[in-house]
Amino acid sequence: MIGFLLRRAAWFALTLLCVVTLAFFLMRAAPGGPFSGERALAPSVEAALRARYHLDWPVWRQYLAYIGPLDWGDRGWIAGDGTHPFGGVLAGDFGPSFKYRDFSVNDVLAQSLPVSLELGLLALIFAVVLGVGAGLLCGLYPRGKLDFWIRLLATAGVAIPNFVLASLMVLVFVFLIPIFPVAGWGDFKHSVLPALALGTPVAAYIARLVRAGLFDALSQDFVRTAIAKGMPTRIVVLRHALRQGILPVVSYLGPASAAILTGSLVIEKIFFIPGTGQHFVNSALNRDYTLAMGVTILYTTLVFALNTLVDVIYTLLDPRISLEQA
Amino acid sequence: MKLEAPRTGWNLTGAPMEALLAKLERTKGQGLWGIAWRRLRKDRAATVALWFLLLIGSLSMLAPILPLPSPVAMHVDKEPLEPQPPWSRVGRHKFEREYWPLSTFDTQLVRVRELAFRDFQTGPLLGTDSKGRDLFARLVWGSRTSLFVALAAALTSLVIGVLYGGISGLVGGRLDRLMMRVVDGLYALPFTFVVIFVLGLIGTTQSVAGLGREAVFFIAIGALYWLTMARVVRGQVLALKHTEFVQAARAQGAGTLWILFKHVIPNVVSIVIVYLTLTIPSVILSEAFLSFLGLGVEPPKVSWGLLAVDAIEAASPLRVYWWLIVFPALAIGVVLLALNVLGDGLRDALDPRADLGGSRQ
Repeated sequence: MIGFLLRRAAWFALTLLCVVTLAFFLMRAAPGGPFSGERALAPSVEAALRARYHLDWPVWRQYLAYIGPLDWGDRGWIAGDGTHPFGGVLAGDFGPSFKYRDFSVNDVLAQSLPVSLELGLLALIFAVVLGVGAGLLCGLYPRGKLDFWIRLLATAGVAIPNFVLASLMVLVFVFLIPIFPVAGWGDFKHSVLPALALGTPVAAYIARLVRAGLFDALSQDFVRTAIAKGMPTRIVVLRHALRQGILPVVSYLGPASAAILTGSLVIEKIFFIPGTGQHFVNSALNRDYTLAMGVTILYTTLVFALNTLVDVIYTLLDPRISLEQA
Repeated sequence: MKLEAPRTGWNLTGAPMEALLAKLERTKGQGLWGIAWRRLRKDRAATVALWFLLLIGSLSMLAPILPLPSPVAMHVDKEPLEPQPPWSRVGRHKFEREYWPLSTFDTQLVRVRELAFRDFQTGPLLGTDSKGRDLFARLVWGSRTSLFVALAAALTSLVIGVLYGGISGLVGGRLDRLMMRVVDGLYALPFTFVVIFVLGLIGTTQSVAGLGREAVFFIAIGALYWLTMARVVRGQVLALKHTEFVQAARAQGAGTLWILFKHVIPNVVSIVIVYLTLTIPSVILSEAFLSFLGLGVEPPKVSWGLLAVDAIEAASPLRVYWWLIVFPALAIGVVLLALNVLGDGLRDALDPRADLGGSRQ
C-alpha cells in the first residue's frame, strides 16, 4: 500500500511538472498579455506594471522564479496584500492575480473552491443515490417494463448534455412552475437545480453500470446456489449480487468526479454560481497568467487525488485486486 | 440446404448442375459485413437510429439548397415569434442572402437555391430567436457545423489513435512499453482542462503556427479522444500479431508498415468503427460544450452549442421563449441518443463472439 502511494506520488509529481511547464510556456507563447486588455494603457504605465510583475524578465527566468523556492536574484513578485514576497509554487504560493488586483490567486481559489466542491459533492451524492437505486430496480425486476424504461432513460441521460438539461430545468422549474430561484448561490434552494443538472448524466451512466454488473453477477454460480437454497430474490440481489455489481461503479467514481468538475464549468456559468469554473475559462481568455496556472494546478491535483483515492477504495472492497499490480 | 446429387457419373452439365451452381452462387459465404448488416437490421432500435441519422445527415448536407431563410439575417425590431404553422403568413418576408463567409462549394449551392426558389422561403416553422433569426434555419445550418466538426475531430482521433496503437502493438517490446506509459500518463492528465486552456489561449487569434483557428479546434478535440482508440487498437493488434497469417508474412520478410497496412488495419476495422460511432457523440458533446464556453465555433457561424447559449441568454422571467430552449435541446438530445443507440447496435452486430446464426434478439 505504502509503495503504491509512493509510486503514485512520484508519478503525480512528474505529471504536475509537465502540466505546469507546458501551461507556462504555452501561455507565454500565446499572443497578448494580461495588460493588453480592453482599454490600452499608456506605454509608461504598462512598462511599470510589467516591471512590477517581472514580465520583462526572460521567460525561463520567470519560469524558474514561478516554480522554485530558490531565490533567483531579485524575486520581488508581490503577493496579493503586498506584504510578503512571492514564495513560488513549490511553497504553495500561486502569486498575485493579474486581473483581480489586490487579490492573490490563493485568495481567489480559497473563496471559490468551497462553492465548487459543495456543488460537485451534492451532484455526486445525487448521482450515486439515483444511479445505484435505478440500477437496483433493474436487477430486482429484470427484463420487465420498469427495466425497459429505466434503460431507455439511462441511455437518454448519458446522451443529453448537462447544459441542455440545465436549460430545460430552468424552463420548467423556474419559469413555468416557479419553485426554484433562477440563479445565484447561497442556501440549499440555489443548489438543487445545478446539482441535478450536473449529476443526471453521471447517474444515468452509474445506473447502466449497476444494471450490467447485477445481471453479470446474477448469472453466476454463487447466486444460483443462493437461489437454489431458497433465498428470496430480494436478499440475493441486495446481499450477494450487489456486492459484486457495485464494483464497476467504484472504479467509475474517478472519471465521474472529473466529469462533474468539467461540467461545473458550464453549469456555474448558467446559474451564475461563484465557483472556480468561471475563473478557469476567464483567466485563460484574460491572460491572467498566475490565476490560470493556479486553477490548472488545482484541477490536475484534484483529479489525480480522486483517482488515487478511488483505486485505494477499490482494493479495500475487492480483495482479489492488489495495489501492487496496479 | 438440399443439394441434388448428379445421377449419371460425372455429368457436369445440364439443368440440375446449373441449378446447383446457382444455389451455390446464392449461398456464397457471408463475410463479417454481411452478417453484421443482417444482425443490425434485426435490431429495431439501431435500424431506426440509422435511418434517422441518414435523414438528418442529408438534411444538413443539403442545407444551402433548401428553401430556408438566412440563418443570420437579423430583424431586431420585432419580438421573437412563436413557432408558426406552415400555412401561416405571420413573420414571412422575402429571402435575404446573408451568410457567414461560405466555402466556394457552399456558395455555388446557395446560387442553385436562388435559381430554384428565388424569393420563396419557409416561414418561421420553429419560431424566431431574440434577434429575429429563423430558428429552423439556424438548427439546420448549426447541424452542418456540429456534424462536420464531429466528423473531422473523430477522424483526427482515428488517425492518431490507429497509427499510435498499431505501431505500439506491432513493434512491441521496449517501444510498446514506453508508448503505453505515455498514454497512461496522458490519461492521468485532466485533458479537457488542457484543451480548454489551450483554446482559451488561442482565444480570438485567427491562426496559430500556420493553422487556422478551426483546424486547431478540430485537432484539440481529436486529441481528447485518441487515447482510448490507441489502447483499443493496440489490444487488437497484439492479439492479431500472434495469428498465423501475420507470422507467415513476417517470416517472408514483410516490413512493419506493410504488415500494418495490409494485414492488421483491415482486421481492426470493425472494432474501430464501433468505437468511432461511440466517439462521435462525445465529440459533438465536446463541441457544444466548448462553443458554449465561447471557445469553439464563433458567431456569426451557428452550431448547436451556440444555439444553447442563445437560449440561455434569451431566457427571462418576463417572457418565456420556450421554443428557443426546447427545439435545440431536442435536436442535440435526439441525435446524440440515435448515435449512441447505433453504436451499441453496431457493437453487438460486429461482435465475433456472438452466435453466427443471427438468432440473437
